[in-house]
Amino acid sequence: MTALLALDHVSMRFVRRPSLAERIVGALARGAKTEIVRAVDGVSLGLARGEVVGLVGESGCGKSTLGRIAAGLLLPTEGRALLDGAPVADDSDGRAAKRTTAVQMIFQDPFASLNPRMRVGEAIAEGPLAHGLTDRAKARDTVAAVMRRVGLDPAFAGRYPHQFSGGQRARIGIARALAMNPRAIVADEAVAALDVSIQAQVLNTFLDLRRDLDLAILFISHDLGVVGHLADRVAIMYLGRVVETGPVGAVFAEPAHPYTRGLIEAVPRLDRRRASFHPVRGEIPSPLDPPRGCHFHPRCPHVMPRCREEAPVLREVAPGRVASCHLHEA
Amino acid sequence: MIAFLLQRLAGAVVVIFAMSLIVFAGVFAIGNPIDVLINPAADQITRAETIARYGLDRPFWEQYGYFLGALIRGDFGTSFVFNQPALGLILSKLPATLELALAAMLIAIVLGIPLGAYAGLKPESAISRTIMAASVLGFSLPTFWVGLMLILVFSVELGWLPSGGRGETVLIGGIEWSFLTSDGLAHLLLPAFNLALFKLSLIIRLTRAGMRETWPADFVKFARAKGLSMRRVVLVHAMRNILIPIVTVLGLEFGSVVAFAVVTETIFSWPGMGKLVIDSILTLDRPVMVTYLMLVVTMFVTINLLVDLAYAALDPRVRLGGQR
Amino acid sequence: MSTRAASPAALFWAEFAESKVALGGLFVFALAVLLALTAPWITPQDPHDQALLSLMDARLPPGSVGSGGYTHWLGTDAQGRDVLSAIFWGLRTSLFVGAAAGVVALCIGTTVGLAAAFFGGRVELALMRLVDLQLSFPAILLALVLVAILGQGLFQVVVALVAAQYAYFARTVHGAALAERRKEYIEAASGIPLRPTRVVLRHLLPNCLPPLIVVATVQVANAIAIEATLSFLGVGMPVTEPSLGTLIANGFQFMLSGRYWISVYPGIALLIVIVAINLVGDQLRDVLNPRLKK
Repeated sequence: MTALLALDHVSMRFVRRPSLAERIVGALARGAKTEIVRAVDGVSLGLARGEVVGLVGESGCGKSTLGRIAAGLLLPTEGRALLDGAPVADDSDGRAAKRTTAVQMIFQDPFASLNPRMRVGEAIAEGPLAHGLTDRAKARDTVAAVMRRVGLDPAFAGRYPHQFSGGQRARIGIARALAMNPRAIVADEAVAALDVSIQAQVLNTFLDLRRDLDLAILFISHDLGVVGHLADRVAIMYLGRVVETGPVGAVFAEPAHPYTRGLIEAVPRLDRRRASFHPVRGEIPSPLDPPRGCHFHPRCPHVMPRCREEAPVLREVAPGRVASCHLHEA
Repeated sequence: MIAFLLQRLAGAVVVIFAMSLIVFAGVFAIGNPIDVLINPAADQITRAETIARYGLDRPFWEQYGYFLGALIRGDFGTSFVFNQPALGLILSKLPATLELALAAMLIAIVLGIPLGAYAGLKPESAISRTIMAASVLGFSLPTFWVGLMLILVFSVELGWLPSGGRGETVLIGGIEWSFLTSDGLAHLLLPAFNLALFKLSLIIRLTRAGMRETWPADFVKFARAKGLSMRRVVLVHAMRNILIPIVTVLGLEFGSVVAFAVVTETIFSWPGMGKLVIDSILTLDRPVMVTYLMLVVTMFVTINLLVDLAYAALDPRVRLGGQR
Repeated sequence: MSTRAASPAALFWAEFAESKVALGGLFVFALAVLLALTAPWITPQDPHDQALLSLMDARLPPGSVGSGGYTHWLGTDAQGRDVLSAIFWGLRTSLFVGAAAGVVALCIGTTVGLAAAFFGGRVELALMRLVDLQLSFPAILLALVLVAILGQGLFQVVVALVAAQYAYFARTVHGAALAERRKEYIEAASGIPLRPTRVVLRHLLPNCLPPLIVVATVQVANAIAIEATLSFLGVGMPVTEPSLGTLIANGFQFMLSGRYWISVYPGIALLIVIVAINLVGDQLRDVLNPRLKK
């Protein structure tokens, strides 16, 4: 299986250098150091045509950064994001210059991700017009088609975003992405801001899209329930690294990494109502100063002396499944 | 904190240096001062001698270098018109301007804080509305226009106050002061009020806004619930919180009061630095202009620096977060 | 419910019109613009035409009938010029200078502010340092220095005003754009991808407009006031092309001898224009400030 959208050893570092004055004082006193945040640290991930991959992790684990790299909005410090073997973005003076329209992104906040001063029809048509995918004469039909596909009445194209409900706006965001005829979509917490009943409807729209358009979807979420409903495969991220990937069913049934197990046990379920509640204990450590060895060891119930010294690498634990944990190296 | 201080101090020095170049380059470009300096009928030799004496035949960079070197020695050049050191000339006018500016600030504070506090406590009353409407006028009317009206009403029509000059002065510490004689005070009143008007409006607005923000705050409610007198709540509890921004703004605005004195001094023939600089612009007296501008720039940069530092000292959030 | 929404402009106008005072200000301002534009046809005398002036008519009090056979409703000045005509012509100059300086400063300031906010990094640091530095000096002082350097004249005054005022626009736009550029719709637009110029002009700029409109109104009034001040100090508009400030300056010396009309009537005209613009600006501020909305 060759990947349509591939992340190849991608790392993203954010650097804050001290100012000149701070450095002068630093030289006199304690010494101001350059602060480096490794938001994403050597991640590889591939999505095939028509495949939905769920990217799961706690907030601050780097999953949104990874999603933006995949969508070409950010340029990784190391590694590459490729669509059909071609980079999705180039370096333009240190900033990302997106090179393809075939990867589109859907954003978390259906309120903030739409320009409040643009009619939604214009917002949907803007991209296709700018890239010659449609022309002025056909724009109206293009807009109507994508609006219908995501379950919106095309008659509302003349309205402004504030006249729609949250669920409708989420659909507008999807329509805007679809209007570019993408082959892959990165959805960053695309339903997180919605009520649960609305979430289910929007998720069904995603399922329809995958079925009808054969899209590869990278679905970023902190919600395992949502990912379980939608994804074929799941990738679990912790502090900038992917710790486990595999088919959704297998991973959920028998998690290979203690962190994955912790996340799954934290999901409230009807059949385990009386079971004790085991969220992952402790706080996520600061990415400014990640723990030595395995990043997860301070919170791990199975921690061994080796975990404090040596970072585990991803290795196959079952066909089609990888995890990075010393428990699997015995 | 030390980093913050160093950063600001270095910034201030850079600004002053950059401004010295800009000011000099700008003023260098103005007209030909020779036409002002000598009699048009003078012969070529006198002309050349004068040019050489003032260094006007040198290239720009040489003149700037010479100027900068002299500046560091405290020598700002000699006025073409008055034929005396420019710095001394300006400094001799400084007390008059300072007296005017301080009087204006005093008027602005003494009138502005009570008026603003009243308007903030009773925002719906007719008096408050009048105060606020007047403050809008104070903001939008040009200073010179108000000065004109003051002269028309109080000097020409009513004849209560003199229209110009400093009046009788008293010599204290080698400096002349107007406010110590009744005649001088009468001369000071109109220009000081004129100059105060803009700041007065500003203080009224700030005090009112502060009062309206503070009054519903929990600590003020608590003080009122404790049964403290209205007077005490307003003066001690609310005012203390309102004063910090007001003091900051006043500090920042003192420079602009001195700058606006240019206009007021011209209208009321107040013999300060502002009138001198307008005269020097009209007569192309380069050294006086450059000296005045350098003094004003230094004053502004110093004021900004002091306010920054005072803020950092008072407010730990700025102190820690100011480095970004 | 109509499928095509009421445009923001229509809603905006409805809200603006709630204040009768602001409507009055707008009406007066419109009237002033109309008078200024039609001055050559509605004034009894062309004040620039020396041939029409007669020293016999000098300093006539308001209401006198001069040698031209018509009434000088606001009197005449030291050269026998009809003050009312001079005011309409002066209004022309003052409004033109204010509008020209306002528009050019708006364009330059908006470009600077948007560029700083969009490009960030060193560009932002350099541009905004300059702007902040400039804003720490009063505009009047900067304008004064600039006209002192550039000399008198319409063009010079406009240049001085633009240089002194663009910084206000730059800071306003920069502040608004900083808040907006963090929002996801900007990222969404860049991520389609759209060209940076398109993102800035179609997405960032329209959302920075509300504070910009308020500042623009106030700055036009300020430009008119500063120009009048410069002219009054004798370093602004030349006597051949008098603005209201020049007219006031010309009459100042006669005021002490009781011939108030030469200065005062142009002064009142200036006052009315400035107050009218500020009333409009105040209402705009209230309408456009999201904090005051219920």
